[in-house]
Amino acid sequence: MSHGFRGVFTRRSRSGLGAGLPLSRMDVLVTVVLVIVVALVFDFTNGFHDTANAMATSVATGALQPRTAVLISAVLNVVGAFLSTEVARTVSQGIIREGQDGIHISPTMIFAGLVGAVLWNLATWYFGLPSSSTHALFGGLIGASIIGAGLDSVDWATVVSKVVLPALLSPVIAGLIALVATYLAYALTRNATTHGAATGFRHGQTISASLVSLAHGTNDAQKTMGVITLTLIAANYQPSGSGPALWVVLACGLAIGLGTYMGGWRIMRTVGKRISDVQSPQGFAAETSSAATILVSSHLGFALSTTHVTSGSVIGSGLGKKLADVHWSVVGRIVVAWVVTLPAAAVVGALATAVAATSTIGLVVVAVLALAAGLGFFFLARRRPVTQDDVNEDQPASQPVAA
Amino acid sequence: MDIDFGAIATVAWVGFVAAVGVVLLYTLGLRLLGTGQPTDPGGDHTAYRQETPRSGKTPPAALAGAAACFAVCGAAVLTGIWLTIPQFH
Repeated sequence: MSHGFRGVFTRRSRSGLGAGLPLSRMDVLVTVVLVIVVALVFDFTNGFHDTANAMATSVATGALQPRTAVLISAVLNVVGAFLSTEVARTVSQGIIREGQDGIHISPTMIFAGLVGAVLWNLATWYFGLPSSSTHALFGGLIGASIIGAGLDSVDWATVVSKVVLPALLSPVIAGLIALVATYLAYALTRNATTHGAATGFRHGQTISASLVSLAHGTNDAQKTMGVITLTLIAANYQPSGSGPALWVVLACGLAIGLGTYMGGWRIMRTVGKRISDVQSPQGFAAETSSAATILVSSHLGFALSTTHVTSGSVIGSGLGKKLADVHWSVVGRIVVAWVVTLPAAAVVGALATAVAATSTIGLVVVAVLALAAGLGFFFLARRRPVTQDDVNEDQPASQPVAA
Repeated sequence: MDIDFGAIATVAWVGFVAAVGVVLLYTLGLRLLGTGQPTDPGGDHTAYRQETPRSGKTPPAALAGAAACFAVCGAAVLTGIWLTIPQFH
């Protein structure tokens, strides 16, 4: 039965699994369950990885208490997940299956790709680096398809034009907008000495950061829904061309909401305090620039990475305040993480495919190894935790902090 | 390779006008609201409780102007929500 496993999936046509080929229903079920579990885990990491995008500057400026910020962000992410399933439909019907005669991507490859994405998300979280969860997902899937279906299965021109180029341009665009906006915010309020200006900017920032959270929910939870739906269709559990089932929407919304509520304090500290010490006029200008850029781009049909846009905005807002310093060494590390994200997740995805595609036992081995690696990052992080209490610490603590 | 530079330029341009426009109006609103009031010497580090109390007189015209500015910003936020929810369009 194991020799038929890959064959069936890779030979499937657009209409779903090649029916009638020898394959036990049990094997399919195991694969599908593993994909759903790891997809929800990815959704969860996506949540706590990207809380920083919307809420880091609000926490840094004191506009919101840390717990309040993650709660608002979590609720809006869940609301966003329910508002629209259009992105999910695009993922399950278009992006991954793009290609002339239907790209040969199997549930095993999706599983391996997700493993790559989750592990890379945990690695960057451990180092407190805001990297794009979407890039990690694409990277993992690309690596998995190269090993599982060959180099030809990836449309490299699409990867460059739809993934790499927007990633290069979006932080620059958002950064320039935030720079001008920050400059104006300071200039018009005489360096924020106008009565009530600082408080006013904090209120404004709360609103624009909430919009960023909502937009995030309508985008990122959808990607996981799309992946799960794609798998269910591929395994013939769901008719081809149908949208995500209600339980998929529910599970994905809750997973990303829970992840967001956990709060990725490590990344928040980097974005809110270590790139530049963000003050309320900067936070307002940065979040408004992010919200405008994200909303306009997704309305025009090509969603930019929330991470790239918000990081660019924070850098721009640092430059827009006279004499404010941007810590370029931190920016450098973030840029390196961005460049490495796609290939690194691809390598993990490729390795995972190589093992998982051999047999159902290989699949389980990958699942166990991935779980071990994930727990490894978790316990490493526990040794030097960042919590809601020290999320606003500018520099590493000079004295060891208890617990 | 098919790169849609036109769409990217549109995002940059519309995003710039929207974001800078909202920030400009909101800041103008704050400035009008603070007209005739004592300044906050702490600048951007001023916490809510450190604010100097409102003691001066703000001209009614400035208050009306501030209200107009905030109203436009509110409309911009509603537009943002409208854009986010596909059921509306």
